[in-house]
Amino acid sequence: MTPPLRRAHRFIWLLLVVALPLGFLATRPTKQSPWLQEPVLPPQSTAMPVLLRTIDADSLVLNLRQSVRGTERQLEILLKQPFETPSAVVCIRQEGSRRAVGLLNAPGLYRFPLPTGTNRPLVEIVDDVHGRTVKTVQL
Amino acid sequence: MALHYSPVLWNRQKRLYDLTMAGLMALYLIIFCTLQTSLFPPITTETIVIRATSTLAFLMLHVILVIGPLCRLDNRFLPLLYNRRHLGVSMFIVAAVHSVFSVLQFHTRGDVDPLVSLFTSERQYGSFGQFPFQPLGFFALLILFVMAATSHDFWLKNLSPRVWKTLHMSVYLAYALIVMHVALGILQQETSPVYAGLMGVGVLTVSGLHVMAAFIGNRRELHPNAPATDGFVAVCDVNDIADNRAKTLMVNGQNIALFKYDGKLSAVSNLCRHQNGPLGEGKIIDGCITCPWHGYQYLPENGQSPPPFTEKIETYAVRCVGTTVWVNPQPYPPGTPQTPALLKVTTINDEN
Repeated sequence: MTPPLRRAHRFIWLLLVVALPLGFLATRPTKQSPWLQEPVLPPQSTAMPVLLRTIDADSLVLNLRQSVRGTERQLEILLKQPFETPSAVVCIRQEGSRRAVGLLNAPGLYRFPLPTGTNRPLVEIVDDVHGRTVKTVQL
Repeated sequence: MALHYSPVLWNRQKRLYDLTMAGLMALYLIIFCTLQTSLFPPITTETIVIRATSTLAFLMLHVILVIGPLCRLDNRFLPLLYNRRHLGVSMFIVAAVHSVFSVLQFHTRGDVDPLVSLFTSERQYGSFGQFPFQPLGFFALLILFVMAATSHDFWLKNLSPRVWKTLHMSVYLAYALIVMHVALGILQQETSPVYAGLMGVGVLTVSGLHVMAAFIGNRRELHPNAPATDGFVAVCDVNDIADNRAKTLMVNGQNIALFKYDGKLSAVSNLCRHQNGPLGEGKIIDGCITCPWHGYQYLPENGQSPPPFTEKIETYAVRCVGTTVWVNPQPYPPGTPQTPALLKVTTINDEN
């Protein structure tokens, strides 16, 4: 290598020996936490016998059901027509926390078990791909 | 040396080099794919190809980048340098396979043009920590493509060694882009610190060796600063130079290789006409200065390649007074014959 190229070479590597580790480390603290797949439970096949509330919200009918003993609750959704979004995740928001309980796909009847203690849940249908809420229903 | 261009001037060393390289690459791919298939049974063929080629190309790039400094630090690594261009082109091909499969897998199944999708599927261009990693890989591949396409001696001759070498130093930019491509890509999803640790070791090894070679190489060169006498500068003691070897000097901005052979001393430019290789790190073979990089040869007395080859390098006048060697740093035109300094006790007055 000619002396100017050698000098350029030395300068480049002195720069890289500092910049590369810094750049590498800079991606660490802001590192996204790994994708945690929330355990979305499969729809239940049978309806719980006690109907607590029902709401008709255009393309959806939502029923809040519970078992005879009142210890378990269930969200029943009748999807009349599909959403125009690539994903439709059913989330329950209660007391500041949001939890995914299931997915809606083709029109039909879906039944999802609800966390213990769910009383008046706010049901959100979320398009997870684009990160926006498609529909919100207070049960 | 070449009288004319041909796609590849094969010889035994090149065949051996390429066969070893191809064998190691095949071995890596076989082991990697077998492990992936057994450890992750539901994995698809496309994913295996993407993973195998990405890791292989990244590993090859590290090997390519450490060859240069290793050769400067220890001559025993010089055989690795001999056909490094084939290693570089092979690495580009592996990286290109990775890119093609990645684009096919992740960007061709939507209703957006694959290239547009590559640049728009991640949009956080304003964030450093979540900067889109795929465009970085795209630009790195573009650089590697230009380098692979111009790796032949045709381009070296037509672009001139200085321009060609400058162009090929863009591999360092490509390396930086690829490091960030990996750091912002797969390492963002990997929870195991092993992968991040391995890359950290790789980055520190490559950059550390380059910095070390730059400083040690600079220290090895003689930088005589004594005042000139009759245009000549005292550079070293004759016993400092091993037989059939050279000392490299940097005098008045001239990069000079001072060779000792057959009881004589000759000085020529330290830059090989081929790729500006360091002639002073080579040795005299069959009476010719032989470049350690690719074996180009020059006669020490006149800086000319032996017939039928036509390459020529600058020559310098040399004197030996007592055991002190004097060199005139004014270069003579390439190929100008110079009388070698004989290793006997003389004085400057004797010579005048």
